[in-house]
Amino acid sequence: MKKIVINIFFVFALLAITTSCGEDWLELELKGSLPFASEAIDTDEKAFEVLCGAYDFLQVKYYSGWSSYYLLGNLAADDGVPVGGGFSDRPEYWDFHEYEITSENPALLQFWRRNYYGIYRANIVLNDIELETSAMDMYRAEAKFLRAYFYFELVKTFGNIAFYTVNLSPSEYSPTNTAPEVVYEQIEKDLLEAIEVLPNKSQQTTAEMTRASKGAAQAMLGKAYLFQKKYDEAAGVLKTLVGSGEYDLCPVYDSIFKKSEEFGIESVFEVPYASYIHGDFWANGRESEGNIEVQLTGPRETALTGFVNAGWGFDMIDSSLVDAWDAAGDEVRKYGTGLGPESFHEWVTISATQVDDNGNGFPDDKEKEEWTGWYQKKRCPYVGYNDPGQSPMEATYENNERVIRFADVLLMYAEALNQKGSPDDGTALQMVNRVRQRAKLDPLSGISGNELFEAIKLERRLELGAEGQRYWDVVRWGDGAKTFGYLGFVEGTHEIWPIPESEIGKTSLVQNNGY
Amino acid sequence: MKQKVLLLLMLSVLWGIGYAQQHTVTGTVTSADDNTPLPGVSIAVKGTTTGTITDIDGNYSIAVKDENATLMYVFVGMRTVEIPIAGQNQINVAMETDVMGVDEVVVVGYGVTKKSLVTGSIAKVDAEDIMQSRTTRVENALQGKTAGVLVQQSSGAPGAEQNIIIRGVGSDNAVRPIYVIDGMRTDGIDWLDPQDIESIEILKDAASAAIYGTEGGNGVVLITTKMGKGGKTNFSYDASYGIQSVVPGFSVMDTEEYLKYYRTAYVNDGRNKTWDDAVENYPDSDVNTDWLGAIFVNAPTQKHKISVDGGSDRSKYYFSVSYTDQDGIIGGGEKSNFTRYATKLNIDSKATDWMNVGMRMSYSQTRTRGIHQNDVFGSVTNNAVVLDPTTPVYYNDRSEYSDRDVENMSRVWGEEWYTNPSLYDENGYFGISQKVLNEIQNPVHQLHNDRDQSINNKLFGGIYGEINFFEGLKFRTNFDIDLAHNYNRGWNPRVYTNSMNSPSVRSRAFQEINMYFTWQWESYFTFNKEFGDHTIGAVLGTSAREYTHEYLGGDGENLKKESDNYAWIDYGLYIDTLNNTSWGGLGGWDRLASVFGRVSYSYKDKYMITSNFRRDGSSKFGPANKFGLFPSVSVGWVMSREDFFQVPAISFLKLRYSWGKNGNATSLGWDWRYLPTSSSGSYYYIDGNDQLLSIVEPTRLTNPEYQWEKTEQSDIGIDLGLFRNRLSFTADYYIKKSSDFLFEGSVPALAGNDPPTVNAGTIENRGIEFELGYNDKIGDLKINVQLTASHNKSEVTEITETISFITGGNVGTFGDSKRMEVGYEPWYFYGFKTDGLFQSEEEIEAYVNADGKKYQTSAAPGDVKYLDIAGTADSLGGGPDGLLTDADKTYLGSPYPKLLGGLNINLEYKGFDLNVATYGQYGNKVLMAVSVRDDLSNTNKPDFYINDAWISPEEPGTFPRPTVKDRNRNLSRVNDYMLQDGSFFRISNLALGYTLPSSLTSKIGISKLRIYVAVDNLYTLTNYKGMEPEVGGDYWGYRGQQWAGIDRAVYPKPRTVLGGINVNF
Repeated sequence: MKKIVINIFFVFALLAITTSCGEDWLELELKGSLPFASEAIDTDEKAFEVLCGAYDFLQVKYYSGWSSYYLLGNLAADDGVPVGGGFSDRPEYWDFHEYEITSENPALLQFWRRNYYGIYRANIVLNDIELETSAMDMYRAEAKFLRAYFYFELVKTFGNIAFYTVNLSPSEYSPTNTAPEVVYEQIEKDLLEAIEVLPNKSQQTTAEMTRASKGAAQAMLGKAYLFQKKYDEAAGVLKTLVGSGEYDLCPVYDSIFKKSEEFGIESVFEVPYASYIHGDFWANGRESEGNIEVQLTGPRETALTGFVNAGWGFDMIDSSLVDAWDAAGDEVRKYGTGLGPESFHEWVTISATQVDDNGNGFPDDKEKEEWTGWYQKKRCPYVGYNDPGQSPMEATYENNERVIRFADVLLMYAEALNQKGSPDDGTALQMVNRVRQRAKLDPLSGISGNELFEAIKLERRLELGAEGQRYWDVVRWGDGAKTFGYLGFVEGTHEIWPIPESEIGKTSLVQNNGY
Repeated sequence: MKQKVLLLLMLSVLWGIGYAQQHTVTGTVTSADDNTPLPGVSIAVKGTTTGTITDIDGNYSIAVKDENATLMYVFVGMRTVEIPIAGQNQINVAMETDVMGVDEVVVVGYGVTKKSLVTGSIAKVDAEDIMQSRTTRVENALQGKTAGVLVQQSSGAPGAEQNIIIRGVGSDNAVRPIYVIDGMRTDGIDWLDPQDIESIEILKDAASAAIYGTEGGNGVVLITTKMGKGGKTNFSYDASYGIQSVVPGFSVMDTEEYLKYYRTAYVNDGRNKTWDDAVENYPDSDVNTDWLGAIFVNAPTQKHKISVDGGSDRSKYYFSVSYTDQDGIIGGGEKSNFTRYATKLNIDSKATDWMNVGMRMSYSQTRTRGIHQNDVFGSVTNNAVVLDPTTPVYYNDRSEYSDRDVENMSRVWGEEWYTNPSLYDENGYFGISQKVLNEIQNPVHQLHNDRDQSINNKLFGGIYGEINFFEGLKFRTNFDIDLAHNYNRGWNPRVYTNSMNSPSVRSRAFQEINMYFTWQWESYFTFNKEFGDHTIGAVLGTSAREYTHEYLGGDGENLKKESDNYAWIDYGLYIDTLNNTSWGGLGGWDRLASVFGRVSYSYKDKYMITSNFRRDGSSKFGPANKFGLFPSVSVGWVMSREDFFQVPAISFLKLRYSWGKNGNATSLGWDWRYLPTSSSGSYYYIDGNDQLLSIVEPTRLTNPEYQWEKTEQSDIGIDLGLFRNRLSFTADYYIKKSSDFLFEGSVPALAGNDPPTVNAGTIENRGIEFELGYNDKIGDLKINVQLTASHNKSEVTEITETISFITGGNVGTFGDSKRMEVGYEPWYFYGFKTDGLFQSEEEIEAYVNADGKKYQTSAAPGDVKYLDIAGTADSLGGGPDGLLTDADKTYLGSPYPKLLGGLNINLEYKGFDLNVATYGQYGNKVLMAVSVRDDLSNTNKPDFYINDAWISPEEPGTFPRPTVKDRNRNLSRVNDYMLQDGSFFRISNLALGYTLPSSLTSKIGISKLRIYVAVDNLYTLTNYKGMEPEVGGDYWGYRGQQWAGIDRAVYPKPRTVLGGINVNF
């Protein structure tokens, strides 16, 4: 009996131990990853790391889909043809080209996502960090610039988007549409505030060049005004920018997109890429610092030994653009933008598959019908621009993206001058001719008013070919049906693109007309 | 706190029970047939209400007042035995079979019970069944043998994991049941030798599984390992050897068919192209390579096992050691192989008359070599499907390399490139395709260069102590561990395998170590007592468990010497250290603390009621949702024991009903997603000097509110025994409602960060299950037939209000193929519906909408005709709108079968035994995605792509016309042409054995000697045209059910012919 009593005490003790651990025992401290708490961001260095999170989304093209503003813009416009591996390769790109743009298009969702991800991170810098230092003032200005840029891309592309300046709480994940005017108002406000604080490009060190400058914000603001047809305001801000002396045209058109001109005299807003990859590129494009679209648009199954590596052959230059250069006698920009059979004379050796002028020589002629012969030279997989030592090296092209360059600024300024309440066609003509001069074309003279406007439109096309500007330029000019009708553009619908279906399904957003 | 009060109460009640009885009789009850212990035998003192039952090992202990009383041993299916005590303290009884037994003992959570008294739905597979199926993996032993259990095979590769799904999918990711081996919970069971298993019980209904609380939501598989029976020492030796081979049936186009396909396509696609042009573009070739034939080999499999068991009246033991070796039919044992060394030591010992102690311990090592399979991006299996037959496996001479390849290879290896051993084996230089480029390569070449091995060491088991306070009350405490050490190593030389390869693919070696450690401490009281006609049982206990996982690894590139002996990452001299990377971290850490219990009551073994409960607390959840309470109740009525029940044919009839709630949290990571965490640092921005700028950002949106997945299930069942239980029948109907399934990705992207984990919706499964058994002995012929059949209907009944559907199941380069949507099966196939093929231009012209506008402007005869189903983009409802858009995508079928079943037949006649095992499923679809890389040119395809193709109105095949310019998207988007009927019926095993007469063998000291021959995977009846109709849910290690039913060239299950021997002495 005594034994049993001892036993029971023994057992009871055991049970007491196991049960008393209780709730405390289940409260595990976070291990292996830091909590993200805004109060912990208490130094400039930490705040800068948060800001870099927002900057990073400028680079992202492949996160859960493939996308970029210029690729989508080129393919929907008469600047680019998908080609790649044929009709079934990346059908989401073909859908832009053939105006079967649907709300299920994964490239569109990716584009939507990257901008909101950028906004979310910019909002953290703007709202959640309490640090008050002079560096922090700069970071806030940069975050405002970034937020304005991301919202501009969204409102331009999707029109009636979801809009917030303070990050949403879970109960707010189902927003309704916001009118474009409201979004533009915030874009203008953010940019105007950023301009006050951001440094001139000349004040930036080389290391700082990948960050926003006053000029970039001014150019963005000018662009945002132009898209709203606020020509007087556009002319105002662009005049300041042009007159700042911070920028000029790069003398050689062909060099603008080469490594030597990265952050060069013409570069107003540039997104950097570098030959690093850390992790699995295919799982998440953020783990590569390289520009995947260089690989995407490089010559497919064709390499120019020692000069150009093979790529996947997407976004070939539309023959309509080639024709436009030819009609204008514009060799400089044709050969500066396109890498075509005619330009192969630049390189002596052509190895690998020999492709003739008609596209013959492909392993099969799947792509031949759309094969135009002209690959992208502004995003060219030059030998030496990536690191063959890294894997996959395809994701390590360091070609930077020139988002806004000075030629664009000059032409925007010209357009604003021509269109504003009291036009200044004389100055406008000077701006256009500065651009034409570099292209070794005769200056324009004696034209004004609408004739000049049409000339500016053409000049934008020739100068900014395949840079993703064309589609949205044509749309804001109201020329969509006239220019792209033959491709399938429907007036009243294609001025903006559909909000991704999965977003509609998860929110109270209403789909854009026609989708 | 509540628990402690409860315990105190319970203890004080027990305190009051006296100890008046004096004489104690102990012993073991065994079956006279095979000397196995009989648990659950009722032992009663004749003429009194005193009684007990034997425990799981057949042991009993009963206190009697009168030393001269008589004990009655009663067990359903056995002849009742009466033995006078006559002062004895130990009485061992061997019971003889009366009729074919139904009343086995089944293991339930934290205890055992008689099958006749079970009120839940529990399926049992015993050692004999497992022996007969002789599987390498335990899961296969369940296939077709238990109703309502779907074994999803994700691969036929040696040692490949299998998914078990019980009563339908109730979650997105976490659909597997938990395994509890001798009381210790674990995830995988590939380390366990199936022949060490005594029985497997599957707790299918929520009431039975409720005692496992938050982990029982997908059902529980209880595994009990073998234990010595006491008495005589038994030695046994088992050995088998077999040869595996691929089951013929699937074939891709040969050169003739291949050229016909592409020439036809050439004519179809080109303007005014003639057949002659096509022949010129696709010239004849002498090469006709059968790539599938080239990768498949015949491969051996063998197994040896020695076990010893025995013991005395005070202790028993079971010891075994086994060796299993299975080579793969792809590439042979060098490339795919599974080897297992398993040891097992189980000991039970009566330390004192009031205390038992013991242990259950396993150590095993498994070594797995695997190949890349089931993937359209460069897997060996898929490469064998898509590589053109005009490329030879080997060149006759290295001069056959193309100029381009020679140039590229010279750049890698210099002028003597051809000496590089990655380019050839003893049969010659590997052929390189000039037609199919990108990452696709000669699969034989690929097998030559890829080397990967995973070694797992596992120590699993624990010790226990058990105290018998007095008659009926026991206390037991277990401490168990699951210590696993997983080591992966692989390397590849610098290779050149494809004409489009950059010649810079690097040599690489990697090593990785994972350390997993789980400990579990469980303590519980058990009380079982009969008071006259009343039997009361109770269990009350606590459990605590902690899991940790840490890992460390690294790789190095540019091996200076490309050989197995030098491919180690610390070989600094031999590896370019600049390209070394290392990684490591915390892979997991969580804790679970629980209180559980059970109360059961039965009256005259006629009316039963049981209630289980468990309260779990988990570190995976936020403060508001840390704890979950999971109750259940079940009732049973043995109608056949009523006096009024007088149906001679019906020997047993029981009705039962159960209801219970479970939880599930296995899909949750360890990383406390209820807290906002910072990204771990693999993302960077860069500065103007190309230096990396590190980033800190929230890893994802947080949802502090998420909680357990919950399952609520009702089950109504009937158990029937007919003709003295020769015929047994069990039927169950259940409704299982799984709510709050956890899902990532239901937050809109506009929220600005990766989605949090949320409780996303509800899935309901309803089904019926039947098991029919026939057991008889006619003369010398023993017959055992078992038929199982089940039907399950899954439906998503709710998705969190802000989402209307979830998409997934990405295929090739053209997007998602699956959806989760209210009103349909989880992850149903979603795509375009077709209405046959256009036969002529007229038909295409005539296919117009109400406005007279052509539906398919780019179609040609032989193309698929798409149906206009709906107009609104966001639902399956709505009517046709005159346009073919994404809104016309619709329901195309379910990856889950409507019917599952199996038939098993065992015959024994004068030493001969014959076993036939079959299983099958009906009504599921498989997406045949083996040739979906339309971004590649010139890929080969399954041969029906040309043989069944539409060629012309005169040759109107059933499959879309050959084209490489698939403007109509016949085969480049998900439509019902890509889906096939996945139903199949498979004879999984046919075995014939002969046991030598013991009169003969006993002379040489052998008690039993059986030899057998068998064929596994003998025959499959299916309409599915791929390699293997059994297509599981895994893809690249992702277990999500969104991948279920998608075939990307699955490693097929081999056919095995084998022979073996069992010896007992």
